[in-house]
Amino acid sequence: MMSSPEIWERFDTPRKVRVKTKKCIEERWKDTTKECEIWVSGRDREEDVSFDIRIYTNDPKKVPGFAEQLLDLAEASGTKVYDLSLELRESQVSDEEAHKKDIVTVERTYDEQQTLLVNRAKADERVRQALAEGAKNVVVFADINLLCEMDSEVARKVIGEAIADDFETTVNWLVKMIERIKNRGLATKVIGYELWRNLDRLEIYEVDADGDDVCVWLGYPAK
Amino acid sequence: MGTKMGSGRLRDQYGERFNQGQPTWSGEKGGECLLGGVKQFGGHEVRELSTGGYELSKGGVVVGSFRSGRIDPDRVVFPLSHGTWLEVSDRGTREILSPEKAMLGGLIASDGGNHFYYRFDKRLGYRVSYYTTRFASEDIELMELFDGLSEAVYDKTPRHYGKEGMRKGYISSKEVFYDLNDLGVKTGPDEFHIPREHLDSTGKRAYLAGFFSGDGNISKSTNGFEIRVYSEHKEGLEEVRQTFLDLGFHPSEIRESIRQRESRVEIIHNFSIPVKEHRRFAAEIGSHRPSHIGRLKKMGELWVCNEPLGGIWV
Repeated sequence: MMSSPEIWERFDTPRKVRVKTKKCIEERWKDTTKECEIWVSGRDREEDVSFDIRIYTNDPKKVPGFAEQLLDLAEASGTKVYDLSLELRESQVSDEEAHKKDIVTVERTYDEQQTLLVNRAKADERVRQALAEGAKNVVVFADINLLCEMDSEVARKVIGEAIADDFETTVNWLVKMIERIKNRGLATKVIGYELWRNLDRLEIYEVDADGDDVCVWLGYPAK
Repeated sequence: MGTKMGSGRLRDQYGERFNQGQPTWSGEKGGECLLGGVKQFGGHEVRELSTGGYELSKGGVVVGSFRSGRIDPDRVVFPLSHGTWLEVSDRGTREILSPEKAMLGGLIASDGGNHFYYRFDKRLGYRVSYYTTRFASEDIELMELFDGLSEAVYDKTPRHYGKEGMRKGYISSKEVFYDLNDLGVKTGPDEFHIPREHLDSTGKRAYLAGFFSGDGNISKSTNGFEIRVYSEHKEGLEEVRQTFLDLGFHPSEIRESIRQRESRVEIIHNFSIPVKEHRRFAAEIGSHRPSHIGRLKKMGELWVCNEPLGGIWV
């Protein structure tokens, strides 16, 4: 059984979120509740990186503080916050959130996917035409969801997720966020990473030939 | 707002909308001298008065007079109040938003709110209504823009609160709430509507500049720059995209940015402005977010704007 109470509205301060969350937990946490997931999602406007940070805990007393910290963490970096919420669960869903690959393996997977996407792009008529007219390289951009699992002494688990269309930007942003999460004492170390992409759904939406390069952007069409 | 167009006299419409006085009204011509200029717009005639101002008539009946106005080749616009103008053209009459009000609408649609709620006041012993129009930004420049537009349109100075890093400003006014609510500027916490029927091309550019300052993005990529517009609200974002199309841009289709979890999926929508139209975007739309301006400057596409709104100011 799941429930998603509203603990945040746009313009709420972190302090107000703490108060609302405390009240919510007092009302809703039951003997059968096994775990609470608290998350914040948003977008870093400067870096154009979307993100999601979630904390899992089985201690109801810690939930209000985590909610306050997550909002403060998100707003401090000049971001647009899209959502801050929590779910109370009667099972430990966090056990299913396992991202334990090392970053080298993730990068190798990314390279393989890029090669595949470049080959797919080369089949596009606009790309073929640009190559025929003298362009030499095909550069593809598509959203990368990079997830990171972190160990924590205060929570059962902390997960960070960064989404951007450039691998270096995504990794650098996530590494900085991991440091900020650690500095707040929410996590102690990185357990591992994971790359997520739905290659089958990616479609080309723009092609721009510029000198030697043909840039191709792929995205998930809106349903 | 639109529902009041064409129903009742202009004086009554005005009173209904703002309930604070009436426009200058001649009713009868009263012996005022008319200057030579008479312009026809469809079934309407606009006369410049010797006493200053303009008189608008239809079928020989005076339907309104105005202290000021602006006659363009294809239309005439008269200021009403609260950043609303009456546009008279061969297509008929309509109320349109001033660029300032359009830009304010764009800012509120992206990073603002227009709220109404009740709260039981223990001291008074009854429910009290609260009306707030808000905007939040980490940039002082955008807060100042919100303040300036609120003052220009509603003659109200927003109050500020919040810590360094995320500033928040609000106006507590029933009048402002209902005026923006009638336009559908913000239809829910994350939902919005663009009152395109009340925007001329200048208003559309100003709206987009306001919206882009909040939910737009200019980012450096490996091979240049990308200009994107984001929103959780797909229908609202489609209206933004349509407004770009109205102005002759060719935005991409709307795409999804997906946050995949074990238990659920969250989606943020976005579309992009093609690379070939970046220069035109900088010149005609622009942004008031300092980081955007910095990046547009880096793109070498700085546009020196002579108009009061609609591009980057330098």
